[in-house]
Amino acid sequence: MIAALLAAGALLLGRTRGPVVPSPFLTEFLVGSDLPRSATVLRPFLASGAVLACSVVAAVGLVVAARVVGGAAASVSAVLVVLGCLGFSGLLAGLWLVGQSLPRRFTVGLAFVVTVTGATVTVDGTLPFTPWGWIALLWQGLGEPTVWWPALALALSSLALLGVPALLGNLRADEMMAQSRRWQSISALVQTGDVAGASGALRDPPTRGRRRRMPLTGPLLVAIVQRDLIAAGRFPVRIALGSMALVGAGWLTAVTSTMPEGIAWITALAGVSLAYLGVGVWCDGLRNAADNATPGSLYGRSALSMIGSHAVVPVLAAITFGSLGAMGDNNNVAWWMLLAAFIVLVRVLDCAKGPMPIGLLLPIPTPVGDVSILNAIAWQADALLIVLIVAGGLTVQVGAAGPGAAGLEATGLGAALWLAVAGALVAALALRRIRALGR
Amino acid sequence: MSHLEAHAVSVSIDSEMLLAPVSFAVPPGTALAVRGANGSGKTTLLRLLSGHLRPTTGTALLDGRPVDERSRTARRGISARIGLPAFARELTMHEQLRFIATTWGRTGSTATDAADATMRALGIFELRNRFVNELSSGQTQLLAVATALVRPFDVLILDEPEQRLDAHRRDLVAAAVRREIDRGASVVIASHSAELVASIAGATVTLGQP
Repeated sequence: MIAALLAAGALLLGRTRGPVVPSPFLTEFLVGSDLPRSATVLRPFLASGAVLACSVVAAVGLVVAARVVGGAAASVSAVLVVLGCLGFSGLLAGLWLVGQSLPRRFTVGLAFVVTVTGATVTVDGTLPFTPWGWIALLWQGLGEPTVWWPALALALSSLALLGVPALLGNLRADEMMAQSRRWQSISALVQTGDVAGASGALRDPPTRGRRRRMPLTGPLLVAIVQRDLIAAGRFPVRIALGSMALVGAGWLTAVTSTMPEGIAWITALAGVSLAYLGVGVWCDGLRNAADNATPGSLYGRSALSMIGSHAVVPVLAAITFGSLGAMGDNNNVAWWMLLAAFIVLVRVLDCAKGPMPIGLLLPIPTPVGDVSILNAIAWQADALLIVLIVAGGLTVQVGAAGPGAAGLEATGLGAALWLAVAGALVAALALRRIRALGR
Repeated sequence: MSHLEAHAVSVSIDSEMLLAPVSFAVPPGTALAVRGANGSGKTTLLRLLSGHLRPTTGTALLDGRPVDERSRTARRGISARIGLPAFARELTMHEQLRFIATTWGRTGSTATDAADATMRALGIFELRNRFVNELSSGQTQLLAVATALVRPFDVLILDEPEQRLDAHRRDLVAAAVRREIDRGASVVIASHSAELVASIAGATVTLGQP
């Protein structure tokens, strides 16, 4: 399943950041030449493919080596797993290029098929028919009699790379240049500490749904909800992924109470992180309202009123999709609803952040060197840190009470109270930031 | 309709003068052009008149009261477009304008009519279904001007609206602004275009180097 998700991810990633992304200058130079594109941009593809292969082999090698040292795997099987994953990395590189070279409609469909076939690996008898199934067979073979044929099949599957010249020839100059420029901007923004700007540059502009009617009727709050929902429909893939992340976050939060003590914090932190990321795709209107909280706003209502109204859709989305994941237990759903409101509050805080104060970049000399970067990192990651510490920490506490109403009554009410206090503090801080933007 | 006036307003930071003292009045139904070389303080003066900057000396008054953007009356009365605004990339041009009009109290079909009329006046109605990232720089400039015209106002303040526009589009902007003057609005416009100034403004103030 993980291998299938990686393959689907590679297909979807290609359109945002493909394997062929030289610097803008090199892109201009290479794509403008009269040589075939399969020759001019082959080197950047090989470089990306090599980085991918090394990363896969390093990650898999580490895990497999640990099992061999622990006596849980035979060395021959371990070598076969590493070789099989090396072959699979070739297939991944090919799929990554497919994502960059072929139309999005095709790659999204293919990613869906890959995910579905990946989900069927638990069905008996389906493993031998897909590359992700071969990976699963190799993995199962670690502690059992050695199976060699999946490694050979995976090695042969990298023959798919024979299609690379055709895919490189199909790359469009304008799209390559757009990716090059975008990633150069992102590098510059990250280097100057503007992570919010960098993540904004990663969001593709809309291309569809422009003729869908946006009523904008009724009271302003209703008009804003209509606006945000219709606008969200213009990013179907992004919204689908974000919503699935919210479902997953709800599920992870719910299962925290069933996890052993040492594992519960992993599911809790993963759940709240996923919720924070997932709800972000519903926050376009919120971000625009925050951008207009400065003097000279386009809008006729106060920044607070606009931001508050634009927070309604993210809260509704988080509650709806997260509750789907937490389905089956009223206490889990109740806790999730509180978490959802808190996480959207933190999103508001993050949207109203404005540019990083230049003072945070001033050098702080210490015996171990300049530690000003720690200030910058803390400033950039403050919202996520708040979510992890407050929402994650309290979810662990609620989970420790165990499933059932008695458990929730014992510790859940206390946790809810603490969450409310933290929410009030976050709201006060957000209000201060919004007022500062208007000055 | 509102009466805008400035009495010896100047702006300086520390000992640096950004705007030398200047006085004028813009009665309802008239337009004032602000001219001057780069760095003479045109944009500073417009920010001051829109209430986003306080004068170091002198006073800027709207109907006899100091202009301050914290005042709801000033915000409702003055529509200023100084630089490009923060557009919503997920909305089409027409939706941007309808949404802006809606937040200013023009709901439903009234907002749609306002957006339609503004887009037609500026010759961008055919582009109504485009997203902002699909516009040329000149079309983006026209959309920016449209954001100032689509909402209700008594005073219109525009900073170099002719930027990136060809002669035909400049004429369209001039005609749209003249219609607002005829309606009784007070208009202040900073511009480097002699043609635009001649076709709009009845009075001119030229800023010297501060």
